[in-house]
Amino acid sequence: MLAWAYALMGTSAQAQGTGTLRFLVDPGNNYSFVLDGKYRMQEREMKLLEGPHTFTFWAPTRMMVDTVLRVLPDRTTDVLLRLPYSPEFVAYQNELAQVKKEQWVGRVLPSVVTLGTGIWAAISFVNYKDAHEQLQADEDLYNSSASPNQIERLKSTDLPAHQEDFKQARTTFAISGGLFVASAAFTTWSIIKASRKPMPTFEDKEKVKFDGLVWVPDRRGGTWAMGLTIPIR
Amino acid sequence: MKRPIHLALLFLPLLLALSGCYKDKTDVAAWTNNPFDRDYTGPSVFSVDTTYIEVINAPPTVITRQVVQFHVNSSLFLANTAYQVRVRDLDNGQTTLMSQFTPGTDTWRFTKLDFTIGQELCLEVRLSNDLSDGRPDTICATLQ
Repeated sequence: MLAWAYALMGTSAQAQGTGTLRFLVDPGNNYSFVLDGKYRMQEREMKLLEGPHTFTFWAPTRMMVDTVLRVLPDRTTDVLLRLPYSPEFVAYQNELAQVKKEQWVGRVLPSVVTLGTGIWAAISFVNYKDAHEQLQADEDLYNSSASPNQIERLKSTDLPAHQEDFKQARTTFAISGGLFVASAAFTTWSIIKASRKPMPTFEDKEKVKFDGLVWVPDRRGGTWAMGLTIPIR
Repeated sequence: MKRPIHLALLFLPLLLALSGCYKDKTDVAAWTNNPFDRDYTGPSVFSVDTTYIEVINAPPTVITRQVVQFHVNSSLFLANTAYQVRVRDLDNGQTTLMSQFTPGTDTWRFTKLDFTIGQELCLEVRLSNDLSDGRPDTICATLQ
């Protein structure tokens, strides 16, 4: 690529000195630039004729940055540049974060609530079962007891209290079970709804603009790339 | 979005089944079949076997007393158990807590020193355990 660029710039280079530019660009792995509005390149260091040169830097998800760099003869100049994120990418990131947050809220939160109500329902059922077993134990005690005082206490105090406990345990189980069923239905609905929501897509408009700046050669000979924006009102 | 509702409906029969699993079938008003219960309404536990005069020769004295022999129908008990009987002499109001004379038997003997031949003697008898008494019954016997 360098040789090709030098060939294009060759004639005047013989009369002028050359200098080196070393690019330290963020992001460092996939940026491109257009030199003097003509040549698209991906170099980290290049020799150029001395004097001013226009550069247009770009990287995926970043904005294009136009700048003029002056090449000093027989010197290597470091160019530090951080390409800012494009507004479309920032908006895409925000939208993606919002969708992921909605999915989290739509999936995790109802699941946690369902898990909680499920645990509550299970505990309530155990209490309900225990309360019933207590009633059976009371009946067994009545049928086996030979103590008039114990029978009197059982019938007047213990059994009514245990019957009230059983009634309360049954009501609690009915409420917790109902809430569990409702939350399970809501969770299922919420998960299905969240999974059907389309994920946002990112359209790199800066790339279209950047590609439109120059002619890009390829193996078949080349093609013209350009960007066109038609406002529709 | 009908599917989640259907899924929830699958849980409903389970919930209803579990709710109906246990019921309070206890009817405390019907608990009257334990003879140790003060609310016992079953057949009488006590029955008089006989009454007679017993003479005990204990030199230098001779003791003469009335014996009322009665029986406890332990087959009415809901469980096999030891028990006592509290007896109140309705003639003089004295109360005696008796223990089984011979463990395992249901025959009891109440003795009375001051007796009158031909006079009916009535006793209030109760099953007793743990220093508490059951429903009182009355048995009577006349010494001939």
